[in-house]
Amino acid sequence: MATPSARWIDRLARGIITLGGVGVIAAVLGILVFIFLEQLPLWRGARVQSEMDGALEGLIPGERMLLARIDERQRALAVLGDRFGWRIYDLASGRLQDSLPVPGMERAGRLRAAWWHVPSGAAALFAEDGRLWLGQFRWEHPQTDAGPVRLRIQPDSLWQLSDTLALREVQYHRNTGIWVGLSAQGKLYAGYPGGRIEALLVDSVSTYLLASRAPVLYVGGAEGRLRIYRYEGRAWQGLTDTVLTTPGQPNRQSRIRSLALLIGERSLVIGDAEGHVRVGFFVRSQGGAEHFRIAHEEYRPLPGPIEILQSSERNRCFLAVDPQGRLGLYHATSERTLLTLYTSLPLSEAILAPRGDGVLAITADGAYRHWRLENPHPEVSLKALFGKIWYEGYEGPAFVWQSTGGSDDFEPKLSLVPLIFGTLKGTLYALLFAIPVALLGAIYTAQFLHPRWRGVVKPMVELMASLPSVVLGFVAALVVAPFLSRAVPGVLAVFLILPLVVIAGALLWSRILARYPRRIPRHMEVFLVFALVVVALLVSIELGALIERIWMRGSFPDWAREALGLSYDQRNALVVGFAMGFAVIPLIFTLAEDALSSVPRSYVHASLALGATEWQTTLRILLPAAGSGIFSAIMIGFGRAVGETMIVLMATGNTPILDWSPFNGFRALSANIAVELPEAPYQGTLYRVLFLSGLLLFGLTFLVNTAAEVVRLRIRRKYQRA
Amino acid sequence: MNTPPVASRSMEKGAIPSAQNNPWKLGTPWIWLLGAGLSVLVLMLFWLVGLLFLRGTLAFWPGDLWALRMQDGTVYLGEIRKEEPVPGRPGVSRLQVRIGNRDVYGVDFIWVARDRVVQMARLQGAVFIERRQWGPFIGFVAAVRTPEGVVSGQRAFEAFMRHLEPAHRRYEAILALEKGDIGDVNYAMEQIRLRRARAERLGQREVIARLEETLHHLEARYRELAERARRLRQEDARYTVELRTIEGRSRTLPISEVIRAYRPNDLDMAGKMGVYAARLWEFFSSEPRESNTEGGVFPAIFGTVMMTLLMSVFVVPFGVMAALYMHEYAQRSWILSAVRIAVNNLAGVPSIVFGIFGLGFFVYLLGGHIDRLLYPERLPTPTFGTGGILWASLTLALLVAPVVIVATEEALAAVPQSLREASLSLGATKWQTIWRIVLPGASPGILTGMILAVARGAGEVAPLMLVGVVKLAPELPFDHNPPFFHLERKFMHLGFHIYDVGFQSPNVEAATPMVFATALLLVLVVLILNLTAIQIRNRLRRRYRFG
Repeated sequence: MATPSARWIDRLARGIITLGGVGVIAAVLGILVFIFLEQLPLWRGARVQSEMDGALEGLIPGERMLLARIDERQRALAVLGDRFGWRIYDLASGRLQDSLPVPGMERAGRLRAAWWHVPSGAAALFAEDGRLWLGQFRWEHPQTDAGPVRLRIQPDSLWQLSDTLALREVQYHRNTGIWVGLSAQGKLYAGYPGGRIEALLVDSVSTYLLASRAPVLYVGGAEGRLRIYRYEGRAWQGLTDTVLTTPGQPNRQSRIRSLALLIGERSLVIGDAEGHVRVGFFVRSQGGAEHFRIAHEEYRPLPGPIEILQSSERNRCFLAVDPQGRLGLYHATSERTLLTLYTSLPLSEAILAPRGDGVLAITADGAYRHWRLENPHPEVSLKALFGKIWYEGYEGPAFVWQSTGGSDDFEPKLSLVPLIFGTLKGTLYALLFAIPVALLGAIYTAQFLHPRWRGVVKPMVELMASLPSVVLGFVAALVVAPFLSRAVPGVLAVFLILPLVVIAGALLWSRILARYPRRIPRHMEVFLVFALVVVALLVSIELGALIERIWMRGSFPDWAREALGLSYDQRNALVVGFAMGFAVIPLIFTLAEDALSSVPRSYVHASLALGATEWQTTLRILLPAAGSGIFSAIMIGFGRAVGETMIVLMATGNTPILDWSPFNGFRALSANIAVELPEAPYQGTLYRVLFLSGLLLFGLTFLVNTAAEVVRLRIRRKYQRA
Repeated sequence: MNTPPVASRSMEKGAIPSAQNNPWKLGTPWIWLLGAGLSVLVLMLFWLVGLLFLRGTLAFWPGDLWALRMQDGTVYLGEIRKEEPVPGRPGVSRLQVRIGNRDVYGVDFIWVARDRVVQMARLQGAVFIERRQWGPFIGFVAAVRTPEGVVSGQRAFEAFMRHLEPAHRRYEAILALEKGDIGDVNYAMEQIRLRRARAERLGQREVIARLEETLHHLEARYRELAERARRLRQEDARYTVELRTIEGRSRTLPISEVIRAYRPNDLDMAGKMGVYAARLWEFFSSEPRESNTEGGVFPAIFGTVMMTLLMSVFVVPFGVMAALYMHEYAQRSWILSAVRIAVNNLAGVPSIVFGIFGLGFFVYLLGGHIDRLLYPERLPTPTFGTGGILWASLTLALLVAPVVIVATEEALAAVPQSLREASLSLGATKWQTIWRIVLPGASPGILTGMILAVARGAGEVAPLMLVGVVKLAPELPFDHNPPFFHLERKFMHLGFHIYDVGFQSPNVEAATPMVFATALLLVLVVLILNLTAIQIRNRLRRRYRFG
């Protein structure tokens, strides 16, 4: 009997091994869970983190609020009333912190219009005594988080307008000093430095917008009509014909009610009276002419007319508000409706925090509600990742992957389609090359090769499977690619000439055997085939070079470009196909050979005994019996090719294009991860999208491998019984 | 019914196939086509191994220096690297010549059209000089200037070679001072600054004062060492050599800047072998130079070996534990088979996926927490919150865990059940049976799995790119500064070295021989590991066949 201490040790060992074993298995399987959890936040829309109600103190009774803005850290709220000037409130407590009258507007009476473009700081105020104030407001943040947030006011110029010119709205272009105002009668006026004022001949104006970079004026009117002008050569030039922003329904009453420009000022958001929002921009057509196009309109509409539109200063989010107090937060590129907030308050102003992570809504009497939002990945949607998206400046919807750009207003293009395409393209070319070579070789080895050579070939191929893929990729890029660019016709000719030469050789050999007695033993015939293959390769390469010299003026890449219109990259899909062949062939070969060898020899012997030739036996008995095993081998090869990273990284140009041509490169999911993940900010959108693409790879290979494994196990059981 | 055709196999020797045996019916062409598939496969393997072996071993061979006189009168002196047809100009070939002297010409490789070369000659006396900077110099030794005087003309080369050895000693002395002593002082100062930052955070006044004092001492020591190094450099600068290119432009540099000099055209076979051996030794033992295009790969070898060892330390005990659990302890059920299939399939999951996991989980999540808990004084500079050798080995351990688990399970299954039953029936506990009977029996199989795992890990690059491999690590992850193992440090790796030098290098042409040599080294390591595993497996099979 075991001693007590031995029994204790036994129990301890059981505990440790169970714990360790389950732990390791859990850790290994936990990879999937972790990657899944890391990409999960992509799919959450914006969420309300906290909601807070308050009322502004210190308002004069009857005072109307004209403007309200919050700073980017959402600490302060600046409110411009029509009686006094700026008041700065602490947002957390609602307490008044600072009062700032606007210099130059003292005793000007009630303000009629106020406008402030926060990113550029340009601001314009118009009072009932005809005074027009142009200048700049700027947030000033303290060095530490504790100090108060201030507002800096800097006047540029002061105008005195005549009594007849009562402006309802006014906007200011700071670089040129031009202002554009909308009169109470619905007429547009423009003022220029030097004092000249002119009426702009635009009818039925419902809203307008003056850009802050280039002096471009967008005018929205009835029936969705949009007109666009640019101030150039001392005149407003129409940039386009009137745009109908409601395509397909020209007769509907969908008056444009509000306009906003997204970051970068190339995309315009249009809100209409029916609660629809649309996004459009200028597109350069092939002739060079620019046309304004509505690119996105798949947003969930609001029930009421869009009165307020506000865009984020950091990304392509925008906020739309209707008069019944319903707010919608959208992202332009991903066409995603991130959030809808219903307040049932008569809102006079709603504000999107500059970073897009908060919304503030205020009623005219100073009651407000402040939502802090969690809105980390607005640019991702199913459509943005897998659908065709019409990106800013593109001619039409397209699948594009371009995750990072040079400037802040860069529009990330996160379509995974070119990457998935690249992965499939690389896999396809690799398998096109690998499957025939591996299967032919495996069948020969299993059925026709002398056992002595089989004992050499099998371990050799197994060793081939262990070649590091970085070496394969490097050889492909530095040796194969330059060679291939000089010998494309020859290499393509191999696929035709090699089989022909080998078949011809076989026929000739049969003739010789028929006439002369056998001199070399049967199992040495394989060397004959080997020699024939070498000869065929050399012949094809030389022949290809000859063809290239005679018909292609010595250079296939140039010829392909001129005659076929195909671009030729040196590192292309053919190179990858060949190099990945090295990685995939041994795998398919070994598994297929195992499958073929595991077919019980009795089947083969029975067939031969019935008088079938070896070839008939192979074709009719062996292959059907091993069919599912061979299928499983191909599946595993597919899985390997899909996930291969270094070879595709090194042997292609890594350009994410959609083109099946074998002479082009591509960018695969795996290589894309290797290239972009080290630079992706932790838990940013790109980071999570790359995790998602890793999950795709994981899922795809896991499924394929499991299928193959199940098939393999079933076969094993079948023949164990037999 | 027809009489069945006679199978060809049945007439093995000497029989003449009768005329009715149509080769198409017998399938001979198709069989030959199958054979062609195998031939292509074998040919590919031969080609690749041959290419790597040839280019990898030739990388260090000192080539002859050729003087080329062109039609327009220009003269080039250099090593001819290859000849290839000019694209678009059939029948014309071009030569790639390594002319060196990047500081003089701006480029060190040129292509010349073969038909423009008027005269080609192996120039006696031409010197190939490997320098620490700017790549090789190819030309002649014009003069040697030392405090003892100037030697020029015919005897300059001999004088230069005489002074080379002392110059190397001076260089090593300077290096030992700057890298060794001054480096240690810097390291100590950095440690003290970090301790001071921690003390400041905790408000320990007297500790701060003590640290300040140590810091003062160290600074004084630093100044003293720096002064010594300056004087050594000054002394070294008095020994110079003047080199001349073939068109007569000259360059003067300190003799200690030269690593090796030889006149390849005047060397016999033994001399060339000597140069070859010296270069090969440099490849294994020294650090890379010239953005990794020259010098050696020692840090990469070191990094690869250390990372692989660490990985084995993590993966073997746990992998064996998991296999033991699955094979010896767990209840047989469909869950177990599902887990087994899943673990099996993880071996086929792309390695880059493990890299993603390593980056997200180990580096950012675990590393970030460790930094916040243990190294807050170094933030925002991450310590463990960035890639490093520890995270890399853990990531690879996960990657190869399925290999170890599967191999160990197979080895456990190969131990006959009767042995276990015999042990148990003699009264041994389950653990005693496992420890004394099962594990020893399975150990060759476990070893096989471990070697296969190491081979897989050593050749894997993609996940490492995400979790801590770098093109040039300033320090090895193991040195004489306590705590000796610096597991947070980034490291170099042979596989990544191939990728980096072959693809990110500004001078791909100059780098190619190095890449081939590195690739050959990596392939040899992986193949030897695999061959060992196969050997062990074969022996194991034999043992259980008879046992």
